[in-house]
Amino acid sequence: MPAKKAQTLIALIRGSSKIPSSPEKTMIVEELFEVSRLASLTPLPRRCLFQLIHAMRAFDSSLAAIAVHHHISPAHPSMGKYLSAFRDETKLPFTETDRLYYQKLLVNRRNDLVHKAGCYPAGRHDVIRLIDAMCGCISRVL
Amino acid sequence: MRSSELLTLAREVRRQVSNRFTLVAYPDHPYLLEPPELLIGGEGLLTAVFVPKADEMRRPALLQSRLIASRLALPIETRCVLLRPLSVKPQFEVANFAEATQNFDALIQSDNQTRRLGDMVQDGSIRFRYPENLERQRLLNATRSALALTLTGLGRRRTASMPSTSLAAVDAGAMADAVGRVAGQSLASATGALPADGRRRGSLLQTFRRGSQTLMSARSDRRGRALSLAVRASALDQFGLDNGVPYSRSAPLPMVFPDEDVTEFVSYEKLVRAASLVGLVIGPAGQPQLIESFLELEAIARQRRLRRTDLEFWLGHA
Repeated sequence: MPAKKAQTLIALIRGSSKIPSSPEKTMIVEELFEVSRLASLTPLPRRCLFQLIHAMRAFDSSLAAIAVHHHISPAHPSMGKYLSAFRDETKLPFTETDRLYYQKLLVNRRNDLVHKAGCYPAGRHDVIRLIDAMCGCISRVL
Repeated sequence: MRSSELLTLAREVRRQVSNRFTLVAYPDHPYLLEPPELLIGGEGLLTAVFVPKADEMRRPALLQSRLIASRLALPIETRCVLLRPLSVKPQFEVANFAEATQNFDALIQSDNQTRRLGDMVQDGSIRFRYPENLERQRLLNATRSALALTLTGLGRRRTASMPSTSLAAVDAGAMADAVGRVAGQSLASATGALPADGRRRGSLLQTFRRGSQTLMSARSDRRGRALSLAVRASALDQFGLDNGVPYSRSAPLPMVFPDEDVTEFVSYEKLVRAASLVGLVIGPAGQPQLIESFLELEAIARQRRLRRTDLEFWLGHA
């Protein structure tokens, strides 16, 4: 399931003209391929954490590349800043409700997983849920 | 087309196209309960391939509902291609094929499908013809979607704040009766896609009309079938398609009231997103006594921004 979601996101990113072909785009796609490659890594908590880290790096870089397409350059780039900037972009169907929804689903959870010692995804369903949210957020702004 | 046939086709097309393309059979998109059969992206070109299912062959409106959701969820420049099934029945071809195809960007007939699809996927000259119109409609729809998402969240918060003793499942018939009472009348079939069994007890989804608003009661199950059906029906009820662009009708948001809490359902969040995309609000589950006050909240939200007092009233309402 995480692999299928990552594959869908790869197709969306590779097929998007908003993220032009570049070494950076190749790296984004490579990060997402890692999600599939790790499918048999054990133990499970390590696999889940690695899958999420690769997906998050792809997500962060995708947001940055889409922001460049829209000539958005926040002073201190962060996921929250990008989401606010997309909300303010009048050509995108990304509302304040969307921003709050994805901020709540992604930003806080990401911060815990990346910065808090001993913090792991709650299991495979947690990975699926978070990759789904990343894919949802990106598809609103692509 | 059987699943095995589609996977064979996918493998053959994958061999044909450059390795800079990614092909996903049965993609898992976070806003689509009924995605296209294939999603192929590469070199800045995105193609969604639709193969009509058996029920869509009988009722092409169902294929339209799938296309509407995909146009709203996938990037604007996505080319939506209709692949004619190899075993197409004559009545589909004669009566419905022309109408069903005009909203797609390309049609692939039965001969040499693999080669034609492979060529088409890599052909940058095939484009969606009305991107500006679609962009405008998606922006207009974003406001309705946001409202639907907010109200669904408020419905969920209200039930989450209730004592567990009051969350026992109600009889599906009781929920339908309550929605029917509020609506005042039943609706047999508004779109041709909605179930035509009116208020029959035990059916998955029952639909009613309250003025220009569609209200539904849904019988819950762990697969979320009734709510999925409500999403599908709402896409058809709320949108018209013209040259592949979905135009939203300016009616009040449709609502569905499940008889039981289904938030534990594995894809519930996807269900909520898919519903919001077509403007469908999922009301508080299993609480027939809250239907009227929830409808009042929706009416207020349609007219103005919700205030703290509105939220306090709703969330604290006994």
